[in-house]
Amino acid sequence: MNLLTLLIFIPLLFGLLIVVLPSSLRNSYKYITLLAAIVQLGISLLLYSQFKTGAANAGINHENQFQFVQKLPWIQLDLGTMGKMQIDYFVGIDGISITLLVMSALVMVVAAIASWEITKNLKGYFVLFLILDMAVFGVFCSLDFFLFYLFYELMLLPLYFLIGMWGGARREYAAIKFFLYTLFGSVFMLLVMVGLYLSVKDPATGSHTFNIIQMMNPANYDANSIFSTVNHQTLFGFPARTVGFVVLFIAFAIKVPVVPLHTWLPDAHVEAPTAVSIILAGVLLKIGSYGIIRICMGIFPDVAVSGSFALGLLGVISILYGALNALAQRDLKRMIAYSSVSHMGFVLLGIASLTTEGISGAVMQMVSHGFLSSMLFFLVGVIYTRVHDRDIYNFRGLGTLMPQFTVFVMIAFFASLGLPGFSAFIAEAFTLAGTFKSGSINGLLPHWMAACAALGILLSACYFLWTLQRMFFGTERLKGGEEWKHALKDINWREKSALVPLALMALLLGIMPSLVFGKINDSVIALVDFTKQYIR
Amino acid sequence: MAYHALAAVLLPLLAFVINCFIKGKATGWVSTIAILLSAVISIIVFSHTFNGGAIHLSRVWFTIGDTQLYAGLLLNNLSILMLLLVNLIALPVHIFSMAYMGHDQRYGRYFTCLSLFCFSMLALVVVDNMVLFYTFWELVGFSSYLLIGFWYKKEKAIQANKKAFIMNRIGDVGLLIAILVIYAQFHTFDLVKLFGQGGLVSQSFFKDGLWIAPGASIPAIWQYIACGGIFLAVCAKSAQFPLHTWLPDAMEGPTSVSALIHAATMVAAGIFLLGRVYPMFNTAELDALAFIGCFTAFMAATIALTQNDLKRILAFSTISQLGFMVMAMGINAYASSLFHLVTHAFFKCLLFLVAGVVIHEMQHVKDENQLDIDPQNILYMGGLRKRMPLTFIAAIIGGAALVGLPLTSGYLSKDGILIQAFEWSDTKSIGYKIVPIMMLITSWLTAFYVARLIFKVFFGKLRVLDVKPVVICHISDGGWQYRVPLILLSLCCLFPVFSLDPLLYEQSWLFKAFTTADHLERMNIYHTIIPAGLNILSIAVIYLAYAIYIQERKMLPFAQNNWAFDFSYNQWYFNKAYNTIFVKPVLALGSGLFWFDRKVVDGFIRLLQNILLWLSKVADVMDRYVIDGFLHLLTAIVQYIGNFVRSFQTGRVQYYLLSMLAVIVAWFIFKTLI
Amino acid sequence: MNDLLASLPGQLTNTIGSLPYFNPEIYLAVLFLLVLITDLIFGRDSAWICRIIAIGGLLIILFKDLQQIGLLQTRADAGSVFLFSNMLRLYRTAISFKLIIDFFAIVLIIYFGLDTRLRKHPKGLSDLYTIVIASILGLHIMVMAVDLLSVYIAIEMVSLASYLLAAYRSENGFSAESGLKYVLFGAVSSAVMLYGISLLYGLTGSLNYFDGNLVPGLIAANPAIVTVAIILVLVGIGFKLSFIPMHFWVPDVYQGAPTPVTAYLSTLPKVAAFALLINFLTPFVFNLKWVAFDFRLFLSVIGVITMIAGNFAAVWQKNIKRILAYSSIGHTGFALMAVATFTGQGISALTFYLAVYVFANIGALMLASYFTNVGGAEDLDGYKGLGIKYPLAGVSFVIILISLTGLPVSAGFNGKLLVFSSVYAVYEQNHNLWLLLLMVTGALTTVVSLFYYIKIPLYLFLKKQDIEIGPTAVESGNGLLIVSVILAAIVLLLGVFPTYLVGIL
Repeated sequence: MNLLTLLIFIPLLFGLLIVVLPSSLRNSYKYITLLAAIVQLGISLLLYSQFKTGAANAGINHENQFQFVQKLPWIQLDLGTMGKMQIDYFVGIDGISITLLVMSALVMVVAAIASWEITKNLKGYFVLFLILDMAVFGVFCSLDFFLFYLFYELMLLPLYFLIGMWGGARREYAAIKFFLYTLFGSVFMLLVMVGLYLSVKDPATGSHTFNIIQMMNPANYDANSIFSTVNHQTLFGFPARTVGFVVLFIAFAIKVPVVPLHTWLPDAHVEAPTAVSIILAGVLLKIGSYGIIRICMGIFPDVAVSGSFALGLLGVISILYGALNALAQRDLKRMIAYSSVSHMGFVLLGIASLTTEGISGAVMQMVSHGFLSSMLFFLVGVIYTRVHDRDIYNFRGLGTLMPQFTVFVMIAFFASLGLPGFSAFIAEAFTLAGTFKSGSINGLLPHWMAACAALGILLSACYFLWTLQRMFFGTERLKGGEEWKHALKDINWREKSALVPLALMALLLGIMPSLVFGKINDSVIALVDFTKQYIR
Repeated sequence: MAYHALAAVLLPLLAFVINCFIKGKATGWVSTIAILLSAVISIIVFSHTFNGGAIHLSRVWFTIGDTQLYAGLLLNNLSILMLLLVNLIALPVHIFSMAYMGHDQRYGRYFTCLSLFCFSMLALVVVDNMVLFYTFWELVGFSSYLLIGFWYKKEKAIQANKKAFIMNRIGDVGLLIAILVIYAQFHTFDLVKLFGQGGLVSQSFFKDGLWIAPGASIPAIWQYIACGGIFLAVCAKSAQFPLHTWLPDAMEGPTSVSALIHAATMVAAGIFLLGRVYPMFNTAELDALAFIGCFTAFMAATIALTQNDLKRILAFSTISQLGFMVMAMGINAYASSLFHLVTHAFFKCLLFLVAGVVIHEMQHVKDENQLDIDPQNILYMGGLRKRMPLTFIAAIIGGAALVGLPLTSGYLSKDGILIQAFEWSDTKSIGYKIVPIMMLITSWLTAFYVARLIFKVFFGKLRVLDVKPVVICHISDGGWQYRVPLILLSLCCLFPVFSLDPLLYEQSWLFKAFTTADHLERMNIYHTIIPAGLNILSIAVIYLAYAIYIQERKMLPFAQNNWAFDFSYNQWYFNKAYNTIFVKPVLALGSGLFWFDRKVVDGFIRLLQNILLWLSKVADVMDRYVIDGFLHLLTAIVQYIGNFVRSFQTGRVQYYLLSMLAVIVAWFIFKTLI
Repeated sequence: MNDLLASLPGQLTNTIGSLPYFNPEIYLAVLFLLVLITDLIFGRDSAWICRIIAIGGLLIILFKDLQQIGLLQTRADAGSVFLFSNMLRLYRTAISFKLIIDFFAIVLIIYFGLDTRLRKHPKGLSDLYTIVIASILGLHIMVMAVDLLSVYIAIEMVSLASYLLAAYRSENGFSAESGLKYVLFGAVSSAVMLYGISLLYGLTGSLNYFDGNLVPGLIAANPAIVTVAIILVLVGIGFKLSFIPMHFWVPDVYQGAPTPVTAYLSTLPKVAAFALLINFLTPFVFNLKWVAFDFRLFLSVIGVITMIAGNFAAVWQKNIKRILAYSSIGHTGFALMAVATFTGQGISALTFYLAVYVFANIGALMLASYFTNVGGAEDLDGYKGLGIKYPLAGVSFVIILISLTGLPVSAGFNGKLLVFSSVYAVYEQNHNLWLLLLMVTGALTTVVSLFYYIKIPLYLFLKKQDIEIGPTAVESGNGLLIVSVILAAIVLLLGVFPTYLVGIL
């Protein structure tokens, strides 16, 4: 049994278990879900430990360099004139995926713990949760575009319901907005996918293929196909490959989210229940950036290179714009949502730089933001479940009421504002280093971008410290008065058990970044070399 | 030796980790013992390796892409000196704190943070590459953030620590950008490779608008930006203009903390940074540095004249003295600058501890009599010299050193700076004379405010009595934890520690350690007149202060209602200005963008949605009406035809026949015609 | 007279020779009579017997269709045979269509039996079965007809049956009105079509697609008048396909007719009509000299308009059946995209797409009537919170809607994928902007369609029920639920393994 396949479908098995269990046992659902998540974590750690590094296992555009590969013929449609439609169940991972897998697994465990506070129709909730879980891992593992798209879309509906049924006051609005936003992106992605499929021929079988890695090889494109690399077709007068790249990029940029495609995020976060926010910020945003690296960069490297300035600019804009917006928020959760817009901007910037430092930094940022944002949203959830209020102005001096909680808040805040010693610092520093270096070595991004992006670090300090001072320090003064005072108990063991691992991971990665870099280096170098040939 | 140094650095970390898990009085001992050991070790290290050439030890930390990052120690004179200094300052402060913070219920937390600070500070001085340097640079700021806001219920304290951290963040960003530039230019973070003898930086040069380095080049402007970034960092940490405003506010923290962090060690980190990256700068940049320092020194001194808060006076004097050092760096008086750094660390720490004792006692008075006074306000003090003789003596020594009177360490270092300032200005155009002159004035101002402070605190009569005639006060020098540090530090403020010759700064071992031989001969007249003139006038100034504050003679220029006084008292209105120029606009921008986000960006989406809905409505409506219209038309036609046909149905046969006939006839006619 | 005699034997042999290829239809005719007679014999309570007979018979016919595949493969001439002196043409695609029709006919007949309201009808259901079977015979002919005459006959046969069905339960005014509208539209459009046919005949003296000089004659004739004629004919077909602007009857009739009938109207005739369209286009588009009338342009324009209008109009609807009516219009538009490719691949994509559409549509309507039965819910507001109350039905409704929207993992997604790829393939050969436009519109309207599809889950699950309605009087058996769950399961299964269905078609 292939480990990856196991990893992907474990949640489904447990989900089925929950489906068949009678609702008299509804209290066992959360344990089952948690168990599923933990098993997944175990498997992913096993993968991590068995993962082989070295230039021979770089992956990216060499199919034989991927690891834990499983490739089964899946859908064979005979389409008469144009040969077979050949779709494989094709999963495998390289350096870039493995770290994200481990991160997601841990975040899922935390999310599972966080969803213990769900009270109404548990069966539906946990089944959807597990389906979402499966989809996420599927996306990170699949190397067949069709499969990728399947999992990618599979995430939409569970999220729609998770936000829409268990969410806050304006949940319907948020859910629909999220759904339409993402669908808008992905429907056009479908068109590009089909176009790619028809443009690419598998040299082995000679039939068209959805194999992502085959799509990365210019030699596999038909000369007269729409996305052909040799003679440049046009769509609506634009170069076809550019259009393809842009469409895919928009689809993923919505997920990341990149300004100006970000407005679904704050609403979704504010309305979503804690666990869903955790998954949303911790994992789903990463899927966007992962897609940009794996799909956009991989399949359209030429366009990526020529368009990297625009990408970098979007990144910088997201960083500053998100940070400034966060500065203006009253709602704690909204503030954090905007802060993650800002932090994900670094990812985009790093990717755009196409330097080893930049991309490694970006991946590091993905991982670290995965942990930190989960932590932040969990912390917000702690307050919200106690008093059902998140308005920063309604709290004061929580430090005296909930000392341990405050300690965790400080860790989370300082870690995410890039305090050295925590993962975010390494990530952001090297993203910037890569960006700046790119101006000198491959000339894709101008130097000033790095300088502007560095201001983001300053701004993040502003809004986090302001919140800290406003909410947690000072003499205690609460809107809800006495009853809040009683409600606001310090965190219990369950919450600690969720927070401690996250904090530890953030610290560990800050001190030993090699835990991530060690695994990704070869892939990153391979990716950079792969794109280098298009830089002129 | 490298491993000794490592141990010295890691001991406080160990203490920090232990203290995270234990509570109560034990924490104090853990931290103090740790720092004691580390001090001992650093003395050993110092004695072995000072002037013994650099030791560089490094291991691979991690690999990113194809670049390897090293973590390691770099022990040259500079770092060893700092290592020793920090430990020697930290030890007395720890001892002092054990008594000073004794009654605080978060005693444990205090020492935890203190150890964290010591660790980061010690690490900062020994690390060997820019990334680690930045790391500890910011950790130092972080731990000072924790300690400033230690009394987190005090509104002013938490405002102050936020301000401190953010202003330091500005500096950090500057440093970060500088590091980026350097890395992009030289592809390494290693301090030795970069700034060592004949390092990469010294190999780089300007050529037609480009900054050329081995293997890379970049527009020259970026070299200036990098240096600007470093200046920003220095200004933030060492509280130089324009980023100095956080330091006075930082006095909200415990006094022992101010003594350690905001007088002796952390604020000196900026100077240390300058020392580390000295080869970066070209003449123009150094001049800029000189002016910054000079201006800051003068500005701070003028402000210190009028403050009434004991600690604030000291804070501004710190800023002013740091100005001296920065200026010294700017005028190429590298050695003197570091020399002054060391001496200043001792006497300023001493003064703060004195202040600590005084405030502590005043606090007692306040608590015992339920007075509504600010224990830090010098206007309530006075006549303490009889009640606390040891403290008084310590204050006198510290003050003398600060003013730079002979026989003190301050004299040696400060006069060195002034003399070199004059020498420097000689080599330049007349305009540069302003620097040494302002420095002279500054040092006289220093003499005045120090004198004012001491007279107000220790002479005259206890002014609390004005508030409440009868007060019980057991004011004393306090226990050994107070006495020992004061004595230790006072000793370190005397000249023998640094030079056997009480008058010639060139003779001090510390100065020698950082200069090459040629500096040593006294080439011109400055070396005699400046110290003489300076000190004579200083004494005059002190007498003036005596006249004003003790004999209470009314003197015109010291009326407290003219604009000059207000200007100085309000600290040149910097805080107000920054608030209106920077803070408010940024917040406004933030909320503006949020509006933009909600209304425009999101509004656009909603617009699309509405257009869609509208279209669908149109489609729907059209649908209904067209179909029904069509239907009604149809039915109407049918009815009409029906009527028409029915009109034939009259029930009369002949009509039927007639019509039939008519039709046939018509048909025939039709046929015949065609 | 003599020449007639002379040609008579030939005619006879041709007819007799055709019979083996006409098997299923003959069986249908027999089945029709059988059901009719049973109805007459058993009278009132004959419904269940009729149903069993009908289903059994249809199963046999399904089997016969499958036999025909084998029968065709034995023939030399490219698996295509002309029957009854070129009146009909039996070929692979036609059989696929027949399979679809017959299979879903069975499903529908089961459905008829399960619908409570229909069952409560005084006339009983037997007649319904009879009519349906008759109409299926018509559909079979429609699928195979390659002569305008047979086309017309087939269309009329189906139409008449449809009229009867639509007005079958005409106690309330609305459904009566809709029935009337339907009849009027049908009449007018078939009249128009007839006019077109006569014009074509006048121009060429031939009605047959393949022999005689229909196409050559038209090539010779004046393009203007030819265009008119062809458009007139297409109007007739369009009435059955219900593309814009021939769709006006659809919403009212679908809403007015009893739900099972709606299920019938919105699926089977449509499918057959597509076959009809293909048959009609075949002679023209494969004739290189044909320039008079650009079918691809025509179909593309119609397709784009239909997709847009159908999906947009649906957004504001509140009534479930009306929503589904408009969505079916939208789907017609999407399917036209596949027709516009004029390639074998396009046709196979079309068959798959249609089959999946029918699956989903019938399932959706079943669930609609299920919710009507259990919750008395006609429109969205009635659906509030029903999903929580009846989770199984709710979930399968969601699955079916996913399929209709065309999201993975569902058969609908694969259908869309196939259609898109077939169109793309053609676009790669001739960079025809219209095809690109079709695809973009297809993608865009998918998003639009989500606007109204998502409403149903929204009301089912997200909206809380304001007034607690207890189980209504008509507590229908779970038959409906079971069938629809099965359908949903199939939709899901075909989403993961589309190969099975494609294998059959």
